Amino acid sequence: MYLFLANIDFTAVDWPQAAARLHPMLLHLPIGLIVALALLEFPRLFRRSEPEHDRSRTLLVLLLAITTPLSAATGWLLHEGADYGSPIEWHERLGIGLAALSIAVAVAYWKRSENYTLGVLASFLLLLPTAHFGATLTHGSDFLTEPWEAAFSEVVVATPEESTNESPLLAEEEPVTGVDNALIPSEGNALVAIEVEKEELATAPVSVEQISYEDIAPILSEYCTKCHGERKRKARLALNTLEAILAGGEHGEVLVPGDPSASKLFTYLQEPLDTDEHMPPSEKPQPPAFAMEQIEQWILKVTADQLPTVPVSTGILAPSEERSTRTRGSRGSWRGSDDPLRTGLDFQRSPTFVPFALDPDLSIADLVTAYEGNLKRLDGPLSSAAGQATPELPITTDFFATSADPVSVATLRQHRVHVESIGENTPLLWLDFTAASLDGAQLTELLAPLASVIGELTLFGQNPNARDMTLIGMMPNLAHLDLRELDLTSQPNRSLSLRPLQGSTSISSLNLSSTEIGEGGPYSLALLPNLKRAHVWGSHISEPNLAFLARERPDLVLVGASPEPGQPLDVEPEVTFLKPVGDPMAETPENATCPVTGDPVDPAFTVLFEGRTIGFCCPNCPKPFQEDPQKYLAILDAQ
Amino acid sequence: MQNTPLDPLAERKLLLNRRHFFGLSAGAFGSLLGRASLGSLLAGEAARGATLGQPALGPHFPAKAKRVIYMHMEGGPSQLDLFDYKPGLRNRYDQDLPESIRNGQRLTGMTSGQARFPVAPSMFRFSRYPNSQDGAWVSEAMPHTGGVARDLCIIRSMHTEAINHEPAITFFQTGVQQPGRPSFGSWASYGLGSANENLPAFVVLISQGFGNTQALSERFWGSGFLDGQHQGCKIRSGDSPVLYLNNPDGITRPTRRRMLDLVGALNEKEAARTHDPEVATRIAQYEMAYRMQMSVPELTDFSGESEETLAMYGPEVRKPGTFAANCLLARRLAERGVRFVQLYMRGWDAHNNLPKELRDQAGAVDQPQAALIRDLSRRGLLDDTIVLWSGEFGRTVYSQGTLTETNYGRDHHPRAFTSWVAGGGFKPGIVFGETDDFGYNIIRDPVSVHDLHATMLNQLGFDHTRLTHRSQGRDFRLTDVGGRVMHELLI
Repeated sequence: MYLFLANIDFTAVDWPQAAARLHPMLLHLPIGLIVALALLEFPRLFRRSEPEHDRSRTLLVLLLAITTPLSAATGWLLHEGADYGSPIEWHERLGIGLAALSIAVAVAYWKRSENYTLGVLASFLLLLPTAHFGATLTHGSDFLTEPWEAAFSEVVVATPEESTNESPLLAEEEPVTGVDNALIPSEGNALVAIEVEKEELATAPVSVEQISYEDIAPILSEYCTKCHGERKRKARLALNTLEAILAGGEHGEVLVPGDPSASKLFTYLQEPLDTDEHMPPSEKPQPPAFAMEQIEQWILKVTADQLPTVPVSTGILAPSEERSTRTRGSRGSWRGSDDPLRTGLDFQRSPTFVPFALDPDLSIADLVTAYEGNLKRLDGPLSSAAGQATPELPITTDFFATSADPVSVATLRQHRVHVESIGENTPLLWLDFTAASLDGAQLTELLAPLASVIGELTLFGQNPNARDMTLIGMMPNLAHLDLRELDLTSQPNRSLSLRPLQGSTSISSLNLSSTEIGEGGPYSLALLPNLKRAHVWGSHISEPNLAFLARERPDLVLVGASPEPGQPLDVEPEVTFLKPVGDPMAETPENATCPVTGDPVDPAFTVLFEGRTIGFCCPNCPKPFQEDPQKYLAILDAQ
Repeated sequence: MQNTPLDPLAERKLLLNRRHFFGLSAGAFGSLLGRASLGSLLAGEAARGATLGQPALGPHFPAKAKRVIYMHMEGGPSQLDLFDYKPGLRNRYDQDLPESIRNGQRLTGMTSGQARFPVAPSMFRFSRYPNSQDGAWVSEAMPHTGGVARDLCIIRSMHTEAINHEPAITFFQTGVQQPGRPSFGSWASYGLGSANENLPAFVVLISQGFGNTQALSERFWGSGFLDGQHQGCKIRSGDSPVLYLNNPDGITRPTRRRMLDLVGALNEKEAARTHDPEVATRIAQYEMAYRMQMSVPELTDFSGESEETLAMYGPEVRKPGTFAANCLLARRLAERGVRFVQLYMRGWDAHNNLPKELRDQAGAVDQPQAALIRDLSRRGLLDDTIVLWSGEFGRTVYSQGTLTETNYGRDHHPRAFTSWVAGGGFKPGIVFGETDDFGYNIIRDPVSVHDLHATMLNQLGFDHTRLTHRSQGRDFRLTDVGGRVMHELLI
């Protein structure tokens, strides 16, 4: 025991804090004493009698006079050591007041004053708010009201404008933050909220570019604000509002706009888990990687002028602000993986890729006008049947962007178009519309922004019009075009005109199976100078036209109707086994006597061994031979 | 008292600690609403391209093939009675297999006790069919397949490591004999994703055979350590092609949508709490299942197929679940962008009554598989679809059990067997590799399972050494530590 004590370095103990930490225990003593005294003296409010001064009362009052100031002192020390947010201010004032009152009660008791009883009851009344604020610190402001929430949630939904302010649930305490309060409702109204959000989302998809404080606020409120919030502000840092984040904590600022590596808001997340710097502390839930990424993206994006310049406020937002925070905050799908840009293609992978290279001045209307001019020109009379030079196009391929922009890709994917990179070292894409539902969107509008980077295009079952086909014909890098089983119900003559494709120098393979092509189709095919292979099964090309194509384009492989199955060149004659028994064709054994027994060989029993035909006298002999062939081969060779 | 995710004690504490639960839910609600409302975007069949979960990697280089149809002949068909023509054996009927051929190789317990190993020449008559070379010999059991020899790259020199069904199928499917690795189809899904958001990337179709049938474990199409979304989706015959996909009576599509939104919201919460990718997979699968409720009935409805097409696949095509019906289904899946269609034909394990069993088996697959080749070819799909036909191993030249003039059996034989590939940039109309006079050992151009995998991945646009996934501290790949891209087989 003495040894143990001797090992403690008492000079290293933080005595004020050691005493301060006794506060949560000590404070219960005055509570009990005040309640006990109040109960003892309560009847004297109604029955006037002399105050009694028995030994029990004396002891209680004495203890009260000692423990109450002690509790207040330790509480004060505790507050000095850490920041507990705003409710502590009142708790502290009331607690010190209560300590003073307790001493006054003791003095009154000592002097046998009439005021003693009054003092006890005043202490009791003062005790209630003091204890309440204290409990708020440890249990949270909504501790009492929480079980009642479901009962009042209808009210919250019915009047969303006032909900956070006037709800009887929340009026009692200061709102924590706009986001938190708005998001408290139970499952029932969550569904209502979902319905409300739906409309809004349809028109405003969230993208990386639009990431804002509202997108990261849910992350902070889930992982950070329990310790760095309105209620608790460890290290005097709060992260529950933008203003509070900007204000920083006792160790300085936590956010440097545009520089995540200098922002503790981000760097502390990245520290090794076992270090003290790491936040949230290792025993607390850790944010996922994409949440950290969002924070990083946000810090990168925010610039000083976008941030509010207002001084640090109390953190309570005005009702209108609160509402907008809620709307946007709840929309912010910061869980990232929903973002179409994050799934699939990695645009940074290819060094030749420059995202957002599309000329911003170029509108879809410009493109469409240009195409229509082109279309008119192509609709003119066909100058000659075949072999002519490429028709001149009114617009050039320089017109198109030279890389894919993520927004267009995301739009395509929203229409369930499959977009796949063709390879790592090429910017070209394969677009597959097999599962697409265009919902009234126009192919041209979807394809135009990516026209120059489409290397393969699958339109299986789609319904491209002449304008779409013109754009396709102008795609400078389109090598493989798949037009299988197109929906031709809205086409003139229920057949596809290939005329808009004429002049494409890039298309090298074209699949037209089960798509009827118009009368000029074969001529248009002949006018695709680089076309190497065309699948024309079910595309209704007449025999003379096939002959025409074969003559004009001998280099073009036309895969027509299914080729007839190949017929056998040879069929082997009837299968006959050449059996060893009595078969004249069987190889005659090389030996005359059986190597095992030495008896004469019966040709019915032979074994082929390493090219030698060895005969035996009976069916039992091959087995010993095979078990030790070398031995018997030696006997044979000796013969 | 740790709140570490996936610590079961901590999880229990979380459940018990109501206050914690509420605290978490308040904070998580923002994201929850975001997720749920995105989900409800889908409600009116409006499109959404992106799915949750791991994004596909995309090919390393421009691919020759976009998809694979892999017809696995479960049990090990006899190469000697189908493709590996050995007329010389006819003169060796009932002779003993020379020791120099077997060369001490271990046999299975089924024949290692046999007193002798009599050579059993094929009873089937072979014919030479036109191809790009001097013709391909194919047995009378597969006349239709012979008719499409112009499109086939017949590899007579395949060899594998395992001699029993389970490890051999596992090896062929995953590249390793031991269970637990992702299937080829899962790797394709992992690398390429689905080209059709309404259907899974990896579909499995199973047909029952007529011969000796072995177990077919679900793990053959499991995703191993890859995300669960990459595992094969089995499409069955009958009223419910995908189990539990149809809405029960009284549940309308809008009701289902609402349910999925709510479940999705709860799952999102769980994903946020545990960061378990399997939860994201679950969300993605629910969404895909919802879309499959529309796409699968359309897929399995053959009423839009012409009589001529149906006739091409043969009369069995109208019976769901037959190999013929599954071949047609495979074509429909391929044209809709499914990356990997795995067909299983069971019943090739002919240990005892090979002539009869092989005739029945080949009769069931011959016309449909040839029709599939022709159908893909005329639709222009064979150019970018790899069709692989293979068993897990071949069968022995010697007879298991009694050899008679009308009957014989054959044991498992991993040292040499025949597979064929069509389309996807493989050389059409060639016969590759050669075995000895007994069809027992390879004497020219051996092709291992890893070589075949590497070559197929190459055609799909992947360097097989770079398509990896890190698990338990090391990078795994389909070809393990082997595999060579066989450029000799490619155009």
